[in-house]
Amino acid sequence: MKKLLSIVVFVAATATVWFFWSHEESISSVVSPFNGKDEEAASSVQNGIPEPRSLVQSVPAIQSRLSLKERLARVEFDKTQFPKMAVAQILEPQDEVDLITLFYQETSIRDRLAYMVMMTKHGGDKSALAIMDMIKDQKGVFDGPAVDKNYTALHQGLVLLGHISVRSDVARQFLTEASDVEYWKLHRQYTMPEMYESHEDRNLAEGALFGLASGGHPEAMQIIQSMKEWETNRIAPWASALCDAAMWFGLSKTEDWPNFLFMDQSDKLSLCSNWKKTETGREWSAWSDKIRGIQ
Amino acid sequence: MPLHLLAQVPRQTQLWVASQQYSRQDSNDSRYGGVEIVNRVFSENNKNVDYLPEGSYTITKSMNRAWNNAYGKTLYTDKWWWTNPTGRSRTGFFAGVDLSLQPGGYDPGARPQLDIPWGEANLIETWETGDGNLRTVQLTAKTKINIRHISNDYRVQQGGIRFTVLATELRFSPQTDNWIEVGPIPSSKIKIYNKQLDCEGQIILSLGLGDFDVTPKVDGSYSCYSFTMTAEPTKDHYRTRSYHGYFMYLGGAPSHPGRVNLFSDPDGCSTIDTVDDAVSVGAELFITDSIFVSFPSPFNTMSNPDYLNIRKLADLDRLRDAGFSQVKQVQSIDIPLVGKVAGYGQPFPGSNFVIEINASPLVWMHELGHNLGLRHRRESPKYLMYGGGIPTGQELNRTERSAFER
Repeated sequence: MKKLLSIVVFVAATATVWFFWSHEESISSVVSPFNGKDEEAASSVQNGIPEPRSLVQSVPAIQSRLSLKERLARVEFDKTQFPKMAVAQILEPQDEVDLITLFYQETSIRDRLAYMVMMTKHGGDKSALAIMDMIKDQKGVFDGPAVDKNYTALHQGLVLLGHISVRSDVARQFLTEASDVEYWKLHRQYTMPEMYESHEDRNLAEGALFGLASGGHPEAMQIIQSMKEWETNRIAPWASALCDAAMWFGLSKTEDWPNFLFMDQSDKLSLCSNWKKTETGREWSAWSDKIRGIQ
Repeated sequence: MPLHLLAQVPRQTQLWVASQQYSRQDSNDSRYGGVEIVNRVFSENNKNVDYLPEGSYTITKSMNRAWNNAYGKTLYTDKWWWTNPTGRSRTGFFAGVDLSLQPGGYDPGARPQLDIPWGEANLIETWETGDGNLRTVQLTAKTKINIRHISNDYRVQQGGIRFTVLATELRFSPQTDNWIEVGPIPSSKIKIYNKQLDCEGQIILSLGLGDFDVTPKVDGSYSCYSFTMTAEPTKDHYRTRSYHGYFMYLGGAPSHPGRVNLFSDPDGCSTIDTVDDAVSVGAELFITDSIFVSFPSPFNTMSNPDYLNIRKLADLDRLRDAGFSQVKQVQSIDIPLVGKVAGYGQPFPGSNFVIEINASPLVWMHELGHNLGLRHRRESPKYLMYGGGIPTGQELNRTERSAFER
């Protein structure tokens, strides 16, 4: 009996050791924000020969099991601000579902803004659909842009879809359709105070165009160029929007662009300013000034 | 004359020695039985000058010939006067030097600062002379310095005044029968108005109009010292503003701060570093209405484009660069992908800026910094020129200070 018991214990112990040995790498590679690159570098140095596992290597494995919330707390994430670069650095593709969960846990659009920004880092169709649904489902009355942070967050979310659209055809298709004022005439459900109401559809179409341009999609530039050919009275309300859209499209081709949203505000504005000083930027400014009658 | 031009009359400060008492008791070497006393009191009523509005001073009353012969004439500058009954005398002391030994006496000339030969002294020195006698010198001195702060523009408001004090410890040398300089007294040991000087021996005080006792107080461990003190008003900056006309429909012309001050008073600085040091800075920004107090066409629209709530950088740039005023007030600035922008300027001298109506004083001074040519710093929000968001502090370094106080 004792012999049988020791055989059972031995088999169970062997199975347990085998299970953890075979699963440890996959567990750590799923959510580890810290050790992925280090392990790659280490294995390349060793010419593909796996390094013996040590107690030192188990530390990042423990950190990798931190939840997204815990990692965000470590980098002092503040949901009332645009997330900083430190936040971008801890985000992993596998965080998308958690981010969407956190996004839905917030009841106001303004409190969702920071999560929308984070979703742009690795998000795809799931993130795009969450944001699109929020935009399309809005009902009721918004106050003006100066006093209603939910309103400005809604418009920010629309433009943020552009960053996601590089991984999401759903977002890309939506932004293309929504760049046309007619789309919003049919689909907008919320209303604005009188002084803003008559321009809101155009504001939304501008936001969608900004998003499409910031995704760097060729169709964005096609839309911009075709609108530029409109007669003066028709294009005048759009002049500065086309100017900005061309800038976002131009910036989308720069190496800094993937992390643009997480930069300090002054760095963002510097990049914009630098683009405006390029020949293309100066041409767009001159065109916009001419259309608007600014000397 | 427009109000804002009238307001630009520079502030003035006048330093004077309200009282200065000095006595020297020498057991061996005095024709007055070892006691020689100089005790002269100057006060506003007793000062021997008249202030002229055009900014010059003339001597209207001279001391009598005997006093001048003893202590030298008092010289005046256009803004300051220098008086020093002991230091200007052939028989007195200046900075530890017995002027009776100097050929022709000592005449440092007019200067825009106040030189006090004896700020505080309470020392008894006793030594044995070569003939076996004991010789004792006792010094007592007490100086009181007042400042008068003048500006019609400030009325009951307080303005910044920068004080600088350089103090040197003195000791009497029995061997040479003279005073020698031991070395500079650290600025951490000196206070004015009960506030410690910074590492550069300076401090900004915020004072209203009137007369104030600003006598430097040196730590009690220093018995005798001389010091040089200067005081000057901090820089006033005047900028014109205009606002979007729709504010009139929203409840009237928007308010503006009128006057924003920057009296940065660092806790202390341990190193001399032009980049990171926090130094005391004084500057004030006055906002006055421009001729176009509300935005002229084509900047008076709320759609096509909206210059009241700006959401496009192209609109923001054009409004900022328009020449009808230096500062433009709008209701909000929120740029897609960039976020909310409280103020928007450019880092070169004379550039304009756009600012949100509810911007804090720190944002106003930050944008003034750009207007004076300053760029962003990124290390910490405690820096006034922090570029990562809205600054929470007003620390500046030496380079930035020079821009604000220029």
